[in-house]
Amino acid sequence: MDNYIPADESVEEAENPFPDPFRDCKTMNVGKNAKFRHIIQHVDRFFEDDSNRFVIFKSIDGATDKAISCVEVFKSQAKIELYQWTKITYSKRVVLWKCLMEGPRDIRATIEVPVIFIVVSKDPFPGEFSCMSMQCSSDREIAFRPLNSSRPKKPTPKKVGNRKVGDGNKWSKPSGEQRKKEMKERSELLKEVENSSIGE
Amino acid sequence: MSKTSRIDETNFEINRRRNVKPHFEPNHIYITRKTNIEQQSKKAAEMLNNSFDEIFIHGMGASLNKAMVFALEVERKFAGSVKSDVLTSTVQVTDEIFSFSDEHENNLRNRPISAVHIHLYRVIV
Repeated sequence: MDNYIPADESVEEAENPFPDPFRDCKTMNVGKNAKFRHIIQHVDRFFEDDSNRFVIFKSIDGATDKAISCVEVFKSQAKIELYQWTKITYSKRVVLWKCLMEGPRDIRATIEVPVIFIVVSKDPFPGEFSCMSMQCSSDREIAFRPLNSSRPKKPTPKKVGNRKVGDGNKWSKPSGEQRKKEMKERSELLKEVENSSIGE
Repeated sequence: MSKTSRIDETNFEINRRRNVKPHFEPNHIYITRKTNIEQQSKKAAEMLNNSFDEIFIHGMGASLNKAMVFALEVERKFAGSVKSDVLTSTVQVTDEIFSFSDEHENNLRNRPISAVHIHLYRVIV
């Protein structure tokens, strides 16, 4: 790429993916250098008016993490119950690299940057738009938790080889009972030997 | 040392505890800073093609953006036959703070961080 220089750059902005009532409403653009305090204060002031029922948080320049954190902080500070609807899409940045030498073609590079749109509403969303992306600020459940979620049990290790376990294995350490039995047998044998030697 | 103040790492060692995963099923994918997106998207595509109708992607903190890039990548691979639902949440993580000197006590610190949960599912036509 030494002989290439960026000549032209165009950005295809992501369209608002939400249906009509949420399409043309107040949008807060959250960038990399945005201050939470300023955005939250602004939205608080906007929500003071009862006619304003919802606001959209949109990430710009790939600051999706900041947009999510901003909404989470806003929800935790809010005194009323808030409803949230999240969608992700991407914007396209097309960069044209021109070649300084004659011969090779110019390069057109398309970079897809994720963009998150979050609607925060004071009212529940209409039933016709109902989907799994909606949530409420009072929800304390773990997301997408199935009804019978439990940690899977570890599989018992498979028996490998012919090694016998317990009484069958002659190399294993004898148990207390086995040792007593052996001692008894030995003492009986000794007694027999002693008796036979005395008899001779 | 107050709980909110920044910790001087010359006098303290901060040990981040691993967060508990909320799901243990094989169709739940946890994206971290070290995840290779290209490789993982191949695995996810294989899962959706062969074993599962839905997969769940979880990312938190520094890997929020990566999780979303990953989800969009899988969606793009399936060209409209896979759709996504997105939820966000706040997760409490714990740091263990060890003091190098005897002046301060060892401590635990809780931090809230944002998390994203993306549900990718096959669309029934």
